[in-house]
Amino acid sequence: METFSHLLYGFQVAFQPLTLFTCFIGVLIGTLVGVLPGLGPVAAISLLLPATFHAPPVASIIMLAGIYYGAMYGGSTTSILVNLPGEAASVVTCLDGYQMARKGRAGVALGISAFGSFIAGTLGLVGLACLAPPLASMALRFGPPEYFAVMVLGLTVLIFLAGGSMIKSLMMACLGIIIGNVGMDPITAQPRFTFQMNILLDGVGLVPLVMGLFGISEVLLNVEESLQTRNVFKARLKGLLPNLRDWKESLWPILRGSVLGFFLGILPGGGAVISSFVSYGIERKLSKHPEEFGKGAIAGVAGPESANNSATAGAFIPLLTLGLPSNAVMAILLGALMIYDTPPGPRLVTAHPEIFWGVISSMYIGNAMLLVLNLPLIGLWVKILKIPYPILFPLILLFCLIGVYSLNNKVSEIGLMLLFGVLGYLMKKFKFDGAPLILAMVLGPLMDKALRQSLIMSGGDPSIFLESTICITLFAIVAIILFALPLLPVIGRFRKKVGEAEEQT
Amino acid sequence: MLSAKRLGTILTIISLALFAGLFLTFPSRAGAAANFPKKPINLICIYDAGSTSDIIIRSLADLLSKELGQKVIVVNKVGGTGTLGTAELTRAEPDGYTIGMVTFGPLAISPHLMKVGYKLDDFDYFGVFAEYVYGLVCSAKRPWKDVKEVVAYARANPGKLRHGWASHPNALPMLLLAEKEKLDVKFIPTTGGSESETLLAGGHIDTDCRHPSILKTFTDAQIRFLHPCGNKRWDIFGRPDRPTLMEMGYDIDVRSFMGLGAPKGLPAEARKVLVDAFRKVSNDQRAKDMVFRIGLQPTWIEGPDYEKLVRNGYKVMGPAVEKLKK
Repeated sequence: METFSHLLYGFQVAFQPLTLFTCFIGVLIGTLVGVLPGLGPVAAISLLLPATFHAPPVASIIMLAGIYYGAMYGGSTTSILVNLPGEAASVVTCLDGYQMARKGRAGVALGISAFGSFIAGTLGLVGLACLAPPLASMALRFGPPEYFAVMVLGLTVLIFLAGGSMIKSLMMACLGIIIGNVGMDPITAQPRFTFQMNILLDGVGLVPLVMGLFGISEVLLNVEESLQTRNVFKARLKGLLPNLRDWKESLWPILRGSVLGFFLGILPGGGAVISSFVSYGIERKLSKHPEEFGKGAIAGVAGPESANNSATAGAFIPLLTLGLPSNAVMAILLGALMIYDTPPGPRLVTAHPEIFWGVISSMYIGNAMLLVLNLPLIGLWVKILKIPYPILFPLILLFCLIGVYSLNNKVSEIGLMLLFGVLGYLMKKFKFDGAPLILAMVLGPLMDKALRQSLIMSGGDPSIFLESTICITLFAIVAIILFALPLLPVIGRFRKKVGEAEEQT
Repeated sequence: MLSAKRLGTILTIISLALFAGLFLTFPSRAGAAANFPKKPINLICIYDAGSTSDIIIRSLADLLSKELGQKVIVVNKVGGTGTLGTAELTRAEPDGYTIGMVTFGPLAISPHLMKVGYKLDDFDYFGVFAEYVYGLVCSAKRPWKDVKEVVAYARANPGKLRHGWASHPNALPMLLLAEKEKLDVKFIPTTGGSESETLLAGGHIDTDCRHPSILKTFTDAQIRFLHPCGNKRWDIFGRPDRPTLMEMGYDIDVRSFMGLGAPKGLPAEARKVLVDAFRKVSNDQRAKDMVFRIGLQPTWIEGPDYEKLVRNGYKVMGPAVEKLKK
């Protein structure tokens, strides 16, 4: 098959000593960046960009790409260990991953996360190699009305995330949408919800919010309990690698997450964050033991972790085939490729096949390197849990403070983070779930923008949302989820009643 | 394993030592202007890390570092479509150790749209090293071959022509065109060039004014290049065949500039060193290549001339922007 020979060519390119070396450096830096809260792959890549000007383009782009998917691997580590997401896409991993850690299963969570990410990365790679051009043209068919439909679908998935009270989750989602829309309106550049404060002019950053809501609040919560009597994670560490039963429960979530993440990663704006949330929601819905979710269900870690990793593979498709970046990282890579004089887009495959196939093959190598890097490190990471709380929590606090400041050098973001820390603490006390807030905060503004662009395009006519097949399909799915699914148990009960009535006669 | 108390003591000693060490790193104030620069210089980038401008600025900083003998560190101060970083620059100490991007958009256009934290007088203009060039393009899904066909379509279908609007310079040529030809055009706001280009390629918007980088990324099968919106044909970008809008009979010349500057009040020696280094680096072939590859036009405009351009632009943009607001 032609693709196979292309891939072999790509491996040939990727297996050069220099390329292997830069790939390794990239994934190593990426993992570190992912583990450290605050500093993200965008910052790391832009900092390293000038250093790559003196290296051959293939090696350089492979290193930068490695930072990206390395960060996805690293982000889950702190989520599982200390309930602090290193990346926005790792927020969902906190939900069940941290609970697993509290039960002594941190190693297993880290392990399944690493394996799941590897499998997902490999599958995503295969998808990338075989499906890139047709998927790319598919992605082009998404205009503002279609994006709006996707966002509505994404928010509908929230229903599946709701752990406890549905009302509370919906309240959190509404709060998320409001917070997401603080700042300058992308369409008219008018400030919204800023109360004339300049620091709010650019909105509430996702990182200060997530770190405050999850990290700082966790610290505050634990400080409440007496530090002397509390011992480090009561349960003994039960073993570092997932056993057969874990694999059985995780295999299908991994596969589903990989496929889901891959396709969602292609769409601009969404990518890893949305795919991890949607994967969590789907796994919860499909699980035979949904009540375990939120208490340490391994499927709740395996699915989302796989999804956010294959989303990185999917994100490369619009970049390499069309020259269109689907997120901030891709935008930098686009710039980098332009500077190397190898512009991405429809011409890249024919003009510079070594870049196209080299990058794809190196992703496989990078994923393998990451697995080899991360598995032995699990033992090391888990030791972190043994650090006594009086030292661990101030350290977490320190990392959060530095991490948030390192982003934009804004003291106001530290203040925001602390504010959200208090909010998160109160939320946890009153059993409000933070995940719907995050999802709504990411999707809300995107949905708002898509809605307004669509209405401007149609001159105010709402029928634009029912014009294309994609829109109709997506809205149909939303309708089914909202209206038909809740009716299933009702229908089930009705049939039971009819059955009983028949028996009696 | 150390007891918690012991560990605590050790950590306290280390932190105190680090704290004390901070005082040793404060630079002495005496003789700051002599042998400038003595320490690293901050360069404020007003756009996001990873954006086109950011990448160019980082490359420029890399070259400037070598020329000045001190590291030039890029600091991103993002916000308000470039106005936040521009304001930050005016608030910095005018000692020559903080310089930044001084771009046409935030200076000449943004003040008419929003409250900005600076005035044109607050800046020391070093000069311009890159020009944002715009070209009228249309989606390949439309059959138009030149601006006359676009105008004909827009006239026959009022309110149907969709033009992408990522920033004000993108919309300006179409706005001026629509005004001259009395057309009813829809401006679809987008959050950036990438989004505009995606929508163009997919046929969701019909026209836009984009940078020359679009020629490298796309073929005519997705996005068709119609006319340059400035005063030069795109010879250096490989399309000498397409006439400018001016050659087609429209008095439209839209350009924007990426310049460098500092807060007003620099010591004379620092200013001379910085401007000379900037001039040298900008006229170096490496910088020009890099600007060109990203899709901007390498150019060199001296500081005073740039200041005139900005002030003039400010006067002209006022009424033009008023019309866009409606």
